[in-house]
Amino acid sequence: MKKYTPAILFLIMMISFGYQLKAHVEEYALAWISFSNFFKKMMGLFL
Amino acid sequence: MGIAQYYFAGTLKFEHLSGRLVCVGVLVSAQIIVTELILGIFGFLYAPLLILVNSLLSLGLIVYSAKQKSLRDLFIEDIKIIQERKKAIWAWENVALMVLGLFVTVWFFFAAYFLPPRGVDDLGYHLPVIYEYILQHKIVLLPIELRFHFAFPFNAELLFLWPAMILHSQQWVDIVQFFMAVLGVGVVYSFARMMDLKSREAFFVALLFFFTPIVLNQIGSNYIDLTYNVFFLTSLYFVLRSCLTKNLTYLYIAAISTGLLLGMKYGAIPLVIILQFFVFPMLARQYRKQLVWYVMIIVALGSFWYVRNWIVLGDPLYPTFLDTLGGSAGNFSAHGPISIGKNMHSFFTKVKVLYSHDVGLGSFAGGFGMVFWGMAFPGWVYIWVNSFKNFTQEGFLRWIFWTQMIFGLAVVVLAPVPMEEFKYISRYSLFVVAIGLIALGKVLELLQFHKIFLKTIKILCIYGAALSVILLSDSAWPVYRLNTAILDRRDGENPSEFRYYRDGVWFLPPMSYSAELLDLLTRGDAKGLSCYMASDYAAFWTTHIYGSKLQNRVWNFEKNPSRDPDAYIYQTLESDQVVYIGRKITLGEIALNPAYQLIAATPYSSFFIRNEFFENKDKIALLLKYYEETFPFNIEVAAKVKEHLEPDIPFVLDNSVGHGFQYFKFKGDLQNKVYWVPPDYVGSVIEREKLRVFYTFGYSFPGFSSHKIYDAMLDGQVIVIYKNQK
Repeated sequence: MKKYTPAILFLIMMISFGYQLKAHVEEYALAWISFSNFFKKMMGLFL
Repeated sequence: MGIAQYYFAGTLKFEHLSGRLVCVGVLVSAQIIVTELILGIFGFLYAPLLILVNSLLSLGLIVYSAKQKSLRDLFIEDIKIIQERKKAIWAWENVALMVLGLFVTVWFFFAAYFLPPRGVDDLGYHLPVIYEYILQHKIVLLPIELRFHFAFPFNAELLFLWPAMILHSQQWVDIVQFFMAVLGVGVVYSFARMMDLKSREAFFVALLFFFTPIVLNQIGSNYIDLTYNVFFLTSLYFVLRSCLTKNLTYLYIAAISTGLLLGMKYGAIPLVIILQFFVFPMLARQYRKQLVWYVMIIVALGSFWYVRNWIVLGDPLYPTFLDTLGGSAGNFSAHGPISIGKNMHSFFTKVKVLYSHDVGLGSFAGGFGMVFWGMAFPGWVYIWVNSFKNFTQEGFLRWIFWTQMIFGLAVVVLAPVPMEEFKYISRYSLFVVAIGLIALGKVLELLQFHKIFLKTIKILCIYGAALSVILLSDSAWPVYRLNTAILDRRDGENPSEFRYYRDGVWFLPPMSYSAELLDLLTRGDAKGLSCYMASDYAAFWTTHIYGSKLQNRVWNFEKNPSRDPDAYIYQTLESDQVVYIGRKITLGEIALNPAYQLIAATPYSSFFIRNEFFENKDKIALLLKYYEETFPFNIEVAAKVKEHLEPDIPFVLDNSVGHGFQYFKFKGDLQNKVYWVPPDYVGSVIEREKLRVFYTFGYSFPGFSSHKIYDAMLDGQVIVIYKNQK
């Protein structure tokens, strides 16, 4: 069992991370739009 | 002060540099808090005296330390230790996080410099309290009939007081918690090393703590959860080290940290009690006599606020009470007491929501983040289960550390609040993120021979950290958007920082007009105005009244005001129930008082200033500039309308075009007398002035014969002026 522990742990973490990413994809997508708009404006100011 | 404490800590017995540097953070905070507290209690809280006392203390520490060790040697030793860890620090994953950290640090400093304090509770009570300490030079209790929060413990806020007092400005109060986040990184690193993590992984998980969404969100605010949780971690670290090493230094630093923590938030009490339940028997065995000092230091640093409340209010924990027999759990909820039984009904729902929604994400109130729930928490489950296998003394101490996660999460799910307020609770237990991340570090070491697993997890953690940074741009409480501020600076403008309330949420945009104008008119004055506020409860925020340079006073909070207020702000932004503090002075009294004039208004707020204030030509110039920049359309309307007015007939109006008429009046470019009043006071002013003939804007006045003298369309808005006469 010990032999497989790292693989099992890794698998659980991947599933858990994937679940969290899926659950919050909307919040992060909206934030990304704000962030990229902010950056574009900043670039426009300085360049 | 930092150098003095660093030097002093160098003379103490520490096994690790990281623990010593964390100790420096605790000691610097303690020095700031204790000196302010003592000066404040005795009514000597003056900036020069505060600087003098701290300079002398620091000098004393330097002189004492110089007898033990050379500062140069200490510094060289420490640099050598850091150089030994060079390879670990500059590992690719750590460099990636440091670059991200540098970017976000610049963002925080810009935000603190350009934007005003703008967190909701910051404006309601965290900041007004310390500003009153600064202005009254002593620790005072603000009216609890306005906010019971004024009676909370305020050790953490005393850290915000430092820059505000030294600079006599609000400008840098929002950067204090950045240093707390850095201290948090330090303590996570120290813990990780204590748990036998290699430097590389320890540094990685410590940096990840900085990128927790709630840490990033709170860095630029005055919500004290970050400071409070970091101090819980330092208390936990030093007390466990003291059990592990029998080193007295750790014991005393643990006492200092725990004392400060208890003086920060009532919520610290259960956490400290639970922790002491586990460690106290061990401490009692190991230290015996010194334990009295341990307890005394805790009491000395943490008890002031409780004793004050006991004496003044008859309840040390005012107003948080636990009445479990009666089924009530006190004022945890904004909706009043909620029964513990009722709260238990939603237990499983809350557990589910906590994991699946990461409640509060993107706001001040929460979000442990994707790295925590995705990676660290599952890692912690594995590590915690395995921690039962080793129950030697060291193993038990480690078990105590890992088990704090359960108490932290229990605080979140058991806090007696209804589901709609659940999202505000997770921030109270931010420390669980640190524990989870250290568990993640342990898992990473377990995977060290599986390079693909290791790299994949690290890459995803960096990705998660980057997502947390991105979330900042959508954060509302507080807002971190800098576009407008930078645009203004580029155009050579230097407006009051309160203009940027308009980029905020909730009551901030409507409040921005009076906030900006009050600050603009007074920020150059050594002594500004004493301003009265009457508002509905929810919007009774006073931080902006003090002004960017703390030049103004909130009249309502003055104990024995020597004169009537110079200015008045009335607002009903959420409800019509107005709260009066100090003395009841109604809107009607001021709206109809010819000694004051309305200078800014929205449909739900009015801002008046005493006429004498405008005897100064510079103030008029500032007001005109403000009107030009803020209300160009109203000025345009007034300009068109005034051409059609007969001289000597007064104008009575109750809408925002009043800004335009005030503009021409102050410019001396208007022959008509203008009565600009809040809605509902037009009739009263006509009656008071016994007006027989007058103009009105937008409607004819009942009881008078009226006819239109102007009817036009401007920018899509119909502009109609009536002449009314009897």
